[in-house]
Amino acid sequence: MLIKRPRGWEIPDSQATPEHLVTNRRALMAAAGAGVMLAPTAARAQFWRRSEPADPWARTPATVPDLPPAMRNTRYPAGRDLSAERDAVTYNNFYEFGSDKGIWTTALKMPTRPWTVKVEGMVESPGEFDVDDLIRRIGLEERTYRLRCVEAWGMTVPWTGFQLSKLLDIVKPLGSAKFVRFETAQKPEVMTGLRQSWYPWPHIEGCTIEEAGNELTFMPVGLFGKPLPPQNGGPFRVVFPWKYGFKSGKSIARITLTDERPKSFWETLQASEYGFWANVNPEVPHPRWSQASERLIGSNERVPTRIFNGYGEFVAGLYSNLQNERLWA
Amino acid sequence: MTPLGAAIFATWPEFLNTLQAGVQRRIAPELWDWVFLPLLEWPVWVVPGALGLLLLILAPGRRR
Repeated sequence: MLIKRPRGWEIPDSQATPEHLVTNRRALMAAAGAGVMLAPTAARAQFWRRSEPADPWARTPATVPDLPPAMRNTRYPAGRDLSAERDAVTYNNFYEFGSDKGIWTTALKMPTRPWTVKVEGMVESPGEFDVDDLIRRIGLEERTYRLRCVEAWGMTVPWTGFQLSKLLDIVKPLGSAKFVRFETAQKPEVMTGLRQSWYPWPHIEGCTIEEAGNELTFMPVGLFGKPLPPQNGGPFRVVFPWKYGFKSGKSIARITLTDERPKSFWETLQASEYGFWANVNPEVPHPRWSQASERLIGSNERVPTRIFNGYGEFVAGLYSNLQNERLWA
Repeated sequence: MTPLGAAIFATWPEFLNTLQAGVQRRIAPELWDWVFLPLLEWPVWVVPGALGLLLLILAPGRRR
């Protein structure tokens, strides 16, 4: 009688791996690989999902105080209608929050109080100032400025704030200070752009000490009479109305007076398109488009762009001895 | 480890900014945050690694 004793390596056919699984093992490997690669993406998708707040003026925290009354300064007439409030606070550039114009939904998550700004470098009296203390100490005025973006669109908005020169009077620049460097706050918990570690964060902008002292250089803390929302650079920013908008640093945490010309964020990224001076000039096109006219946000009307954005009478003298500089990019 | 994005930026500084603007303004803002950015944060060796894996998957099976 034949007795079959199975050897150790022999297994019944019923335990064999089905053929279709063996022949598709490459597909299984691919699926496993894709799963590993996409898992972090899926996890982050939930974390970074943009939930749209209903109110672009929402304050974070909700206790951010109203601004004290501000006198309207009529020395700088805009000469055109104000932009709509809603457009001004929902059509924004703020690279730390993204490249699209709808960054307000994300930016609103950035707390704007408490907020301090350090003023240091070549000054007699450096200090760290609470924004609300500065508002009380210096006082506020309202100015309506034209805004000209390098992307060939424009707005007209009423800023509430104070002249930068009044802050400089407090810290007293030394004679050796030639430039002013503006540093945007870094809030990685809300600024998704900071994850791009290869960029030269923090965002830096700068100007000469003469430009900083010009009467037009303004430090807004408000817009349309309300506290400046983060998507517009709140709670504290700088505005140079005669330059392309990217020069006007947002959400400023540090101001440094220095004898070295600051290299700005955009100058580091694309110096051929975004230089240090960036004064508005319709005759000098951007490398990729004309600057001869601008589209007004809201009406979509296209209007001619003016040299120095129409503020030449106040600032042209700043550049009379700088004709060898690249003043228009 | 050098992220893929850093290697691209070092080679071609304008490229990622232009790509991001195109993706976020013309397709969907979230696409950048959810898909492109996580990929750019991967170590740079992922590129040859992924190519190798792809070749492995596409290669004809060995004869038995």
